Amino acid sequence: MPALRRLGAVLAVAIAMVVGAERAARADEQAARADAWDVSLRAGYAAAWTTGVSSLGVGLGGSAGYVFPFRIRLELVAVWSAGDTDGASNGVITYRSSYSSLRGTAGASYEIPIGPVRLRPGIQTGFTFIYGYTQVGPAKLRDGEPRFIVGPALAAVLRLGRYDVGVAAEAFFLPSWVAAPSAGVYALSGMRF
Amino acid sequence: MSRASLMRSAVLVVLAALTPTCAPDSRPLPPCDASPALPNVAPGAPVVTVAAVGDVADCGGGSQMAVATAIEGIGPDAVFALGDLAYPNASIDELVDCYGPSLGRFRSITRAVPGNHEYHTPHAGAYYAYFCGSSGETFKGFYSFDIGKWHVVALNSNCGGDLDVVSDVADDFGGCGDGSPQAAWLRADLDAHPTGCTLAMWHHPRFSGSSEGSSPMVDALWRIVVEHGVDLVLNGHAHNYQRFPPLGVDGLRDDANGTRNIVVGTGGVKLASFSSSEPNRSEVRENDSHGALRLELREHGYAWAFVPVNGDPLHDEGVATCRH
Repeated sequence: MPALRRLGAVLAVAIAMVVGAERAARADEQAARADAWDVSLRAGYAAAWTTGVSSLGVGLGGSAGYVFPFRIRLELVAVWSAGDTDGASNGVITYRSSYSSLRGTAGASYEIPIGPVRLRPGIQTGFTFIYGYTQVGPAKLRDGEPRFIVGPALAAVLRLGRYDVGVAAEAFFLPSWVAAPSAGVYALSGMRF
Repeated sequence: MSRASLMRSAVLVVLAALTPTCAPDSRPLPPCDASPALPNVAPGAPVVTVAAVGDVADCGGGSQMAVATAIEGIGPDAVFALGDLAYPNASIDELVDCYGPSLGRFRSITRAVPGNHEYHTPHAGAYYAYFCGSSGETFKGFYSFDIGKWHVVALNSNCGGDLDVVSDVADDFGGCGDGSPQAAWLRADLDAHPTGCTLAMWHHPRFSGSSEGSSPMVDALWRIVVEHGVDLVLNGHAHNYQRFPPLGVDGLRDDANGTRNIVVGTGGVKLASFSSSEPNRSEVRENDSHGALRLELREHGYAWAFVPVNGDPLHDEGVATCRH
């Protein structure tokens, strides 16, 4: 019978170990899931190659992302860019041209952990709404059409507890405007939950 | 520095960055000194001297000042500016600061057409403002006028075929297709001037042996001018000089019913090479000198000469009679 008791004890210990390991794994998974969502604000600057009156410039926006256990991160980003206003006048004729833009993109990236830093190379696509007007004397044209954009993105985020700070660099190409690629750099600040 | 002053500085930086949106930059435009009629030309004058050139002021350098000096030597009654007048974007700053000191000194006697670089700035607004309404209805860019014994039509060839401008750029004026408002206007205008000598100018050449290539997007306009007996077409876009023999609607030599075409994209920006893949239809072509085309518009014909900068010998000159 002592052998049976020993076997029972061993089984009890083994079961306890398995259950403990399972609990620990579940806790890790829950902790990881707790970190999977993030939101952040961003502020930065962007410019396009061929633009007499820029619709980019200083930009403010936000993003929300989710990291899957296999390190793929999906993200939604919205950025408003202040753009630029140009003008001239000689008393007879007045010229004003003012443009801003609002961009909404969906992106996918692969999250590479390097210590407390997460590097996120990826791709974004969506639409940018370039809106504004050009006026020469009494003649005025308004713009507001969406333009399809696509391009690569790279973000580096430093984890500070539940908070993130980092930098995102993006480039976009407008298929409807081949020679007007744009690029921007934004500072990020957000949190995970 | 205290935290409060740091915050104040940060707020001021953000506000300064956003200022252009709130308070538009408004620089002085040169006065609108261009009269509806070209001031140096008496109506019906038997001989008129014109300088024509495109692809002018490169704000990063360029030979536009030397070209302006060459034009001063021509002593023109009028200047025809063939588009791409300020690089890279023909913004109001580039037009005033780069084109202004060079060919801008002839602004009061200039009639211009817009090139693709004018549309780097939305709707070519700065171009229309700079020329104060002397180069056609704002945002349309096609118009006609008489000079001496000649009738001149100026067209907008920004038909959406360029990669450096937004693809729907032609929406402003309806494009260049056979059924476009511009084509209908062109037919009506040429029908109203059935006799005498006629010149047409626009930016993109229908046929070119240059690295920029030919522009099939203006084919309908080319066909209309050839079929209506236009004597001479002037273009820019190609950064070199090409003088073609009279060409028919399909670009083949047609001495009886063709229209002569001269490409003068030598106004100051870096010159461009010729393409080995494009057929060479020209009689004379050069890309080793900036300069302007000197035209003498006579009662029944015209004389041309390419005037290079720096007093180089004339590279090309000739005379022709009008078709009607």
